[in-house]
Amino acid sequence: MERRDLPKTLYFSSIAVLAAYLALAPLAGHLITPNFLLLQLMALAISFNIIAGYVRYVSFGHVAFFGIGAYVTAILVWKLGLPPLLCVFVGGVGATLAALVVGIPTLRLRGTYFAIATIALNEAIKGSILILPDSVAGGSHGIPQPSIYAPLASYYALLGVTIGALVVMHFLVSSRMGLRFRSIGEDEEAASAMGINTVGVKLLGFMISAFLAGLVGGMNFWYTTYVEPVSAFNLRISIGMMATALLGGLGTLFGPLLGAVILYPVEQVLWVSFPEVYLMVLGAAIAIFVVFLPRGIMGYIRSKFSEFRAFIL
Amino acid sequence: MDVTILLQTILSGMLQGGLYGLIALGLGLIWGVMKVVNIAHGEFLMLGAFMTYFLFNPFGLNPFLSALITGPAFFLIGLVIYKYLVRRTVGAPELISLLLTFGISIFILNAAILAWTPDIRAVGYALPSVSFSGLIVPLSRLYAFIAAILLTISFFIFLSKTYLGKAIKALTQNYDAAHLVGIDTDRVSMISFGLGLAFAATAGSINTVANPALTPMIGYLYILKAFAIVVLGGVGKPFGALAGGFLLALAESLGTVYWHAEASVVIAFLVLLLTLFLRPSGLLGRKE
Repeated sequence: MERRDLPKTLYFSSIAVLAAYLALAPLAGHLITPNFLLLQLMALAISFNIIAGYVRYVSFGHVAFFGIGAYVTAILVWKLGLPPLLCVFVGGVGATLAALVVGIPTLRLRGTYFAIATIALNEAIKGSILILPDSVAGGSHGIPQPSIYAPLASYYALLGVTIGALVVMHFLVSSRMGLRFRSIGEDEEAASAMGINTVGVKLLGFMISAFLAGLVGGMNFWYTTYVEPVSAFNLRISIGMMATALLGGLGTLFGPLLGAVILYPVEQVLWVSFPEVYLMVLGAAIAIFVVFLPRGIMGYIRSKFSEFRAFIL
Repeated sequence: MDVTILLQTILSGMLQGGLYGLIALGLGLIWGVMKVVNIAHGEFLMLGAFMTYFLFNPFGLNPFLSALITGPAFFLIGLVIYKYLVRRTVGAPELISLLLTFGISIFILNAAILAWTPDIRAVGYALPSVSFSGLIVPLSRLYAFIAAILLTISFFIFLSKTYLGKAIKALTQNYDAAHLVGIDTDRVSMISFGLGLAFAATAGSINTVANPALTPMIGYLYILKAFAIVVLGGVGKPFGALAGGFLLALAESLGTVYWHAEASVVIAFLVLLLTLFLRPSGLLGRKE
């Protein structure tokens, strides 16, 4: 094997090992929930990475799309009794539409407006669900739908979505559209001067990202069969995906996976007994990483080992 | 419609609006000078409020006077944070400073919950209310309002009359040009960041008089509101912040009385999105 093939081999073999583990673990009698949450963290970090890593617009309130996906799924199951998988898909579409509504006014402007508008969206939707009558969206009691309980099916569906997202990202980043994303991330004015419709491209990236987060939210509802506003729109989920993507490496394919594999065990140890300490650590990690290691672990590896430079991990 | 209720609602909105202007002042200052939106602004406000609480509770220090301590203390803290963290992000892509200040805000919030628990406490500084012709004016809110307006006016005078103030305005208008004409942009930025945090903490102190309920989580709501206010009033303009504060507070108080008691966040969001859609440079701002 030649040295320059090393990164590619490492990349594909580690993904294969990870996928094989996640696919076989429930069959080998492992508890499903920890692996479901690990997958969820990965998929959300991949979603956040599309808009923040490549287009380089931060969506602080990204959890809003997770929550919207969960709620649309829940309401469809509740009111219409459609099959869960279909409802999850529509949940993803609902999140995409919300991204369109927030994106059109804010993506014409600088990234700050966009970043804050996503937090405001999250708070406004959470607030609206609490204000609306319980018969519309369940109010503060949430929506329980125990009849759709199917842990294995929903687990494998999430595994499928995550692998699908990875495959799509793999081809997307080196496609023309992916190059447009990255050129906006590098220098938006230059990209615009080159004739790229920057607003349209940003909007597309945001919608793809929101679609994935919406699907994950829907899967979460399917797995837990319950949703309520405070946990579905909890900013903690945003913080988790941000720290994951940033630690692994924003703007790298492998970063979100690596970040999740590192952060998830830390979360399991700290979150259970010291939740404030865990979030404090994440906050400090975000602040320190973005200043001193803005491209995360993968970015560091790429800058240190020349073999990794050519291959976009 | 009952006219007294309407007038009372507008009056409450106006009193709150003056405070909102002060709350947004520091955010707009830092944003204007170094193009950094300090997401941790609300957390510094919360820290100022907690400092006021701890000065009041054992020592009985008047919250208005404690602003004289919280302001300078957070000015110094701001200098340090600028020197070691924020300075590295000035001029870098926005994503960097946004994530940095977001990380700082998460850190402060959870450290505060750890130290002081999420329980609600109150600065027990109460004043009577006066009423005339059916309208009730709580003196605590009135004095907080007056203090906020006086601070905003003195900041405006500082910006227009002193060398440092003019330098801050110059950086707000054009950072590179200010550098070219010989202004020490790094030093002015550092002072502006300190002033921004000082205003956040001062607003926190004065806010405890008008809105005494205090938890580590209050900052989170204020960053959304402060941002909406700065967008409404235009970045880096003290009176713009005041106008934006009045508008948002009025919309909120009318909305909570006539629509739904929990609607204030939804209203802030709608106001923000509408402003961005119709006039992104703010109501008082020039078209870019």
